[in-house]
Amino acid sequence: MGQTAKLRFADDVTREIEVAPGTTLLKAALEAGVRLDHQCLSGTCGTCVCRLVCGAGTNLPGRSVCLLPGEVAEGYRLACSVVPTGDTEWQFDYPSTITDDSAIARHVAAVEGLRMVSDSVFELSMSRMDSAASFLAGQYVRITLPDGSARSISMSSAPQDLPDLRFLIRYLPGGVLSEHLKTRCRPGDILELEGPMGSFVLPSEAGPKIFIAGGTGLAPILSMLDHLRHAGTARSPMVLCFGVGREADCFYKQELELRQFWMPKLTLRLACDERSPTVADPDLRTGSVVSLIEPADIGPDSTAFVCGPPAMIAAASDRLNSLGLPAERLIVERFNPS
Amino acid sequence: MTVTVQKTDRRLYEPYLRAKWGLKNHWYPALFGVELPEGGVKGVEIAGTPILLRRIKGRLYALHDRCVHRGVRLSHKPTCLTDDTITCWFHGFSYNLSDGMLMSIVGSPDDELIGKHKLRTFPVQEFRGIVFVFVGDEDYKPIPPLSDDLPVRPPKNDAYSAAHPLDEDAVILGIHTTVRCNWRLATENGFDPGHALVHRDNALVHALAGQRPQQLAYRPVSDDAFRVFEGDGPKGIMNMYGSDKYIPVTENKALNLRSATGTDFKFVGSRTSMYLPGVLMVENFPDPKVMHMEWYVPIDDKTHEYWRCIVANCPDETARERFTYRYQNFYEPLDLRDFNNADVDASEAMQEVYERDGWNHENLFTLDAVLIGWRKLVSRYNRGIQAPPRGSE
Repeated sequence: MGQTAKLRFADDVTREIEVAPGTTLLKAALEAGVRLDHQCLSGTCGTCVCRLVCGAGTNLPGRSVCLLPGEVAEGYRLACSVVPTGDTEWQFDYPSTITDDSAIARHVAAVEGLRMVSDSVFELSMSRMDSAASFLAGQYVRITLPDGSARSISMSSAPQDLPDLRFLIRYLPGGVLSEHLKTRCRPGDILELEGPMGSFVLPSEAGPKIFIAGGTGLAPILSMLDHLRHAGTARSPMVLCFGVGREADCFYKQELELRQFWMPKLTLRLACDERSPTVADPDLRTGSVVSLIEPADIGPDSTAFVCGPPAMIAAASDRLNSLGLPAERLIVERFNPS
Repeated sequence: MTVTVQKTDRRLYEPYLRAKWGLKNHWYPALFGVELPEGGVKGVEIAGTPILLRRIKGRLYALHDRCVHRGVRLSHKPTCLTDDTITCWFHGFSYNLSDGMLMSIVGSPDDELIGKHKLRTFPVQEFRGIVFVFVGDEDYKPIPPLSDDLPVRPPKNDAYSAAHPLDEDAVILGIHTTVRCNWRLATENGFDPGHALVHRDNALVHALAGQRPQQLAYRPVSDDAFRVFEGDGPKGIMNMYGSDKYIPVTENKALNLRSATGTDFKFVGSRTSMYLPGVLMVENFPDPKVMHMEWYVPIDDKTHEYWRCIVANCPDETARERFTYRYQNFYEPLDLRDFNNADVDASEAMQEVYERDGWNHENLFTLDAVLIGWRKLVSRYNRGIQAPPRGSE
């Protein structure tokens, strides 16, 4: 057993790594897959500074480091230049997720607007008040309500729209979030968000995509579409199948039409389970969202993104599977009303 | 499914309104070839991206013009110590021209950073005497051909056909200057059917008085007054002047204003058209069979590089000499400078209000239809909207 180093981070995470004799702390950490903030690798910039809590280390010969004698006396060392001698323990001033672009963190955001976009769906607009991290299109945050309870909601806006954030929330009578939005929430309210979270995100490859959204399951999918649009990477064919329960529940039709106008590669199909005697929109097909999926939508390198209630996910997955979509190209996110 | 969004809904061109910093993933003119002689280094800025251009041993290189060390522009004081590298004048960070890799540092030849940092490189080519750079995402693939970012080339039997850059014998001469105006306003002025009034007293109009009528404006009178190019190749929109879809306006009785030149000429007119990422074609202008061409290359959100060119077919040396003579003595002074300076003036006048949210306070009128068509075309067919550079907003 060689010498070990314990790396303690500000978020109370501790990582233990092995350090081969003569190796700098930074090199040993990076080789062990522990990400430490660093830049110059030569003792100059001070980015990799940490504090020796226990044990000893010597600096690589032949270099001058930027630490002041007082800092050294307090135990500060530069990870790129210090070679631990024996077992050691180090404290880092930053969380273990520092180099993670979309690390989970707490944010505050102000409510900018709240409106009903159908009989049963709220559109909540917020402006994030800190400017630190971004998120990946399709992710969600946990929103803390004044009574202390928390609910997960997906962004419908794209990362490029930051600091603006938008959410779509289905009104569930008696639901904590729903009732808060309906009766108390006002523009100017400050809410706490924790996130981003979730792995319902776009893969790096650029192939054709089919998006299947039920109800407010549209939110993360809209975020993905807008991300692709803003990034100028919406160049492969895309199909969006969007279904709602009752015709009167249909929302965001014009928002989707605008995306179709802006994205020539996007095909849009809408459905509702139950027709309304009064609306009768000819652009809505009667039936489930799954009935909108056509065999030609699935090619050998297609990826499917499905978001909605569990029963709809199950039906869509079966249908996609029967059309030959491999399981690893099916990305799902389950939505439960709250 | 048809779009039921109201045709007047401004949201249809919301992406255009966001495109302050230009469209990305396009070929833009950076310099005339003669501005970058063998051994030369020049810095340009396109859509917020500083780009260094180098010509050495006949090859062109385009690199990000910011040293990785402190971010200064290498072109500020060009330093080339070897044929295949460029060195930052400040602390000696030196980069390979071919791949941008940091290959040495003057004062620290064994530095840890060497081989770990690089400047990004840009696709670059010289065509008809103009150096073009492909500006946008590093991983954009496939890179479209330059011809997709030039005006469409009407068939040679088209009555309006004029010289085109893609013609084998095309020669392009011109100038470029920096104008304090967002690129979008300049494009809109460039093919605005109503803006002819700004040219009313230009010397060019009087010089051509015996040959072509002066119009006060062109008024569209039909739904198909403009033609839209949405297929493969260039994306653009063309004013179909000269057809019965557009009426040339030569008189306004209420204002007692008449065209100075009369209207009674038989000539092949000039159509104007605009293409992504902001390229103007005016066929048969100022002379029949030559093309007047402009680019409005975004520099930042408030300035653009205004390219004004004349394209002519020069099948032999004599034709080239004749074109050069007429260019120097007629096209450049009267068209590209005197005439186009009226456009510069109009563009700068718009900038003043549009940078104070003029976009949301317009009252457009019947002659502006083609401009809205352009805005929607850009919104639909852009290859991406350039994001503001870090720290700019």
